[in-house]
Amino acid sequence: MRAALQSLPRGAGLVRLVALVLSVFGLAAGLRAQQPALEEGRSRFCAIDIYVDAGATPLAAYQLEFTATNGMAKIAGIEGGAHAAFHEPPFYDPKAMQHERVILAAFSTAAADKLPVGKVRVATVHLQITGDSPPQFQIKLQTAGDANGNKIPAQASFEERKQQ
Amino acid sequence: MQTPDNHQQPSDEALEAPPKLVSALRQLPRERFFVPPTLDEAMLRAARRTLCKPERAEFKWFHLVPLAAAVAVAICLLAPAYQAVRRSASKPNREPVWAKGDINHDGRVDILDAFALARQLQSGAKPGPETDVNGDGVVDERDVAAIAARAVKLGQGGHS
Repeated sequence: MRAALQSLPRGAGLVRLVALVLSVFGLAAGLRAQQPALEEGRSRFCAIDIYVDAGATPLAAYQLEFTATNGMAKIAGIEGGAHAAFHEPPFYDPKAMQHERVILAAFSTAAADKLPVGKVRVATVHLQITGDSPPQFQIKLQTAGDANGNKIPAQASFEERKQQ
Repeated sequence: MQTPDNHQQPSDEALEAPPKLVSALRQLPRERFFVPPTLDEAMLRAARRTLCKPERAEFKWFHLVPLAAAVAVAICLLAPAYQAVRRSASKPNREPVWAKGDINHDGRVDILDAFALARQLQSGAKPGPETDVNGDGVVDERDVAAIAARAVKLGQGGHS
């Protein structure tokens, strides 16, 4: 383009200036047009708190399956829960990392009076979210047990941790 | 198709014995032969045996003796085998075979099995050799971890 401008007559300085300004704007517009493509590769991280509620029965063991259902989230990390009985990270298959599905399980051999009752956070799953659409999750409790190892009824749930 | 007329039968009026035959018959002795009655009866019995249908054999109890003997021999031979089969059938079922790591015998390996083994170890009980899940000859915390790892293992057909 520069060569083309230099080939213009000398008196056309104003024209050259206008052409230069237009080319600068065009370049800027081109960069702006490429911006969405770059945004597609952007990702964010979020933490999902996993809860198990066994009611009044002290919870000694649990096993649950957590799945990101719409393919927008990959598991990036797993940490333990809030209560001392489940403070250590739960058991999980390392192959679940960078995938959408994981089975979490943990137990505590502590005495019944040192086990949590009611709704308790047992683990936290850290996820890498890609894309703008919100991720969707599913949780399914596979089993839960009391201090004697007996199966007990319980509910599993999750909540996305608020960004601080 | 008509046959030629060469074999025409002579009529009854034309029947006449040859003269030689007539003279020979006239020379035969005229007195009657004596047939003994025993011979006559023997011939009659022979004729009856040949011509009459055989009568149905009469049922006799001793006809069953060979059959009864055969049945008795068969029973003697088969009784031990039958007893053996019956004994094996009446024996209580063998101990059910549980999957390795199914400590609480609920038919599946999950975290409750790891928990059960951990409680046994914690209480000081001596778990059986079937709880040696990792096969290192010792039942310890590593077997608990092995059961837990099996419980959370993702299936082949899963998403991961």
